[in-house]
Amino acid sequence: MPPVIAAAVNCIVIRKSLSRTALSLLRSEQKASHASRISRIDLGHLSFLPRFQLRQLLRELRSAFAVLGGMFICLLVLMIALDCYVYCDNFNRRSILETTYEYCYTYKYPTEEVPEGGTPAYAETLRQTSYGYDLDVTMLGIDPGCPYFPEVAPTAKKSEVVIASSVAQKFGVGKGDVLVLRDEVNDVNYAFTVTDVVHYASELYIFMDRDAMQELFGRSDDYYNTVFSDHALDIDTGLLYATVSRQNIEQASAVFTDLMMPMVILVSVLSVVIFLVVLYLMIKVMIDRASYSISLLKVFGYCTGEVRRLYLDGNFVVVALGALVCIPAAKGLMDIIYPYFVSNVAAGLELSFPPQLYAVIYAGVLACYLLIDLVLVRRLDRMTPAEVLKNRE
Amino acid sequence: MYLEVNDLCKSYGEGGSYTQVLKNVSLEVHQGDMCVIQGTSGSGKSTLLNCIGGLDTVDSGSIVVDGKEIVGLNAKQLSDYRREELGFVFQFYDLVPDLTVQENIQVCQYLTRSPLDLGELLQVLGLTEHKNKFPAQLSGGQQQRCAIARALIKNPRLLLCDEPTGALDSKTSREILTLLERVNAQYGTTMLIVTHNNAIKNMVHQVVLLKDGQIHKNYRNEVRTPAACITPCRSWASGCRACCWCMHW
Repeated sequence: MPPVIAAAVNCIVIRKSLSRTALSLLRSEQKASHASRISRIDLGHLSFLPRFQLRQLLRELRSAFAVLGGMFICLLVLMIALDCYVYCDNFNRRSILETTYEYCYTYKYPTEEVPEGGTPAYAETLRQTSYGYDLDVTMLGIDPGCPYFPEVAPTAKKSEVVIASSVAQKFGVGKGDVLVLRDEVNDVNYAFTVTDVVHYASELYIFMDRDAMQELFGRSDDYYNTVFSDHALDIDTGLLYATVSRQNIEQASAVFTDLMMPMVILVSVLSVVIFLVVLYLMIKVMIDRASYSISLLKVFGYCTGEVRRLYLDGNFVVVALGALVCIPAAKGLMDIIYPYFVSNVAAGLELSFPPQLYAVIYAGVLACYLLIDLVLVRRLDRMTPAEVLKNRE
Repeated sequence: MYLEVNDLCKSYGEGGSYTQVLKNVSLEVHQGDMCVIQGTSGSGKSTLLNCIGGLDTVDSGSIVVDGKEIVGLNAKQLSDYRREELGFVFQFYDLVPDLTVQENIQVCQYLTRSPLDLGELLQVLGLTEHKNKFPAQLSGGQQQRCAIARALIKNPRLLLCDEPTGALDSKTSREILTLLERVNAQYGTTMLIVTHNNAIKNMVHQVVLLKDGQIHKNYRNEVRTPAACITPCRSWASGCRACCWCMHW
């Protein structure tokens, strides 16, 4: 791939330059190109400093766009890392927030009587495909007024379900839509009409009235295979398939953040390094192209600070304004792409940033520019009037 | 005395490539005078101009401009000296190609708190109708006028011209020299002009001839020949020291 790209660049860019006639190269003629026409537009009645900065910017419009393009790509890379971090952090938070019970007992052999202090429920596992991956969806039959799912109010119909927001997001369904799920064991498909979407992001849950669910799956009245409670119950472990405590959930959800943090840090640092390199190279090119003019200004008596105001401060405006556009654009684009990265994860996707994070990203972009500015000022300092003195017979 | 150069020495290179470009050069220029420095290629004209302009260091000697010693100043001080005292006119104009005529002049106007009036300067130099044009749209003579305007806008005490007519044809050269003459008369600017052009030495107050890095001749013109036949205009009627064909000082 790289040799192909290099060959394409050679063919398109270098060949064009070499096709100029020898005479035009000798005369160093400049064609009245579109770029030079843009740099000569009438700027009205601006004062000297903004006028000069604007002319410089218009002259180096391509480099400015390259800086913005580089910034956008680096921000996209950064958003991969930050979306990952936010995803894991939100998953962790939502898991703890949404786990309203202390213990969940899943029965292998349910007893006739529900243990005292426990709230019964009926759970079945169904499947659906998302982005090519088969995901398990837990269908939970609960009694009206179940204290552990207070927002859920399923109807009594066996064809209607209330879905979690995670399911709505994963499978792209909403209120009024039909959700089809597969029972792999019995090789049966079920089509449910969604009556409501509740905010539940940490797992793929759909809810139905327990009686309706018993009827749907041909179970007896009062059948249950899951018990929720807010304290430990005395249940024979031989009857249980699994016991999950709130503490287990908290520990398990925190693992995601710990596992992904090194990758988040690495990718974030990488994006910053790439941005610094792109910014330095592009602005250095702009300055090198203007080295003769800078040398001339120093002959006239301009100090380095004034030259910096003329040649570098305009770029600060480009970067500052560009970041205001590129940050939300990169975030928006990554939010569209990111679900594909985690399509095999059976959980909801919350990628929203707190407002402070946007401010930190913006401040980071400006800090990167100021760092490069500091380095380039030293370059400006090293430019002497000697460049102009060479241009004589 | 506005400019005094005493025993100035300047060399380049080391060992086999050592070259002494200026050897004990001394000269004095009065305030308000036009002084031409002539010599063959390699005689040290441009080096002398660069040293006086604070663009190059010297090995020994002194340069005193308006009572201030230039030799030994650091880079910042030399920059301030060029900013406050000097104007530069180069052979190839050295205008910023992406700035209009007016903007090119404003490059130097920005440096001073008390610049000359831009409109008046444009008028004196015949650039009013060209002020919004870019250098590529101007002839060589117009570009050099713009360069002169840029040098003069901050009302410098000393104007350093390095081959100001070197890239121009004879007719345009005469126009530029006439212009410099007018500027000298109107603003009292002291001028040092480095040139190969032999005809210029008759129009200036002082002639310095350099040969192999040393002053070969240094004299004042008793009678000056004007650069061209100038028709006096109203703006020149009062306080003008020049008349049409000859100048007696």
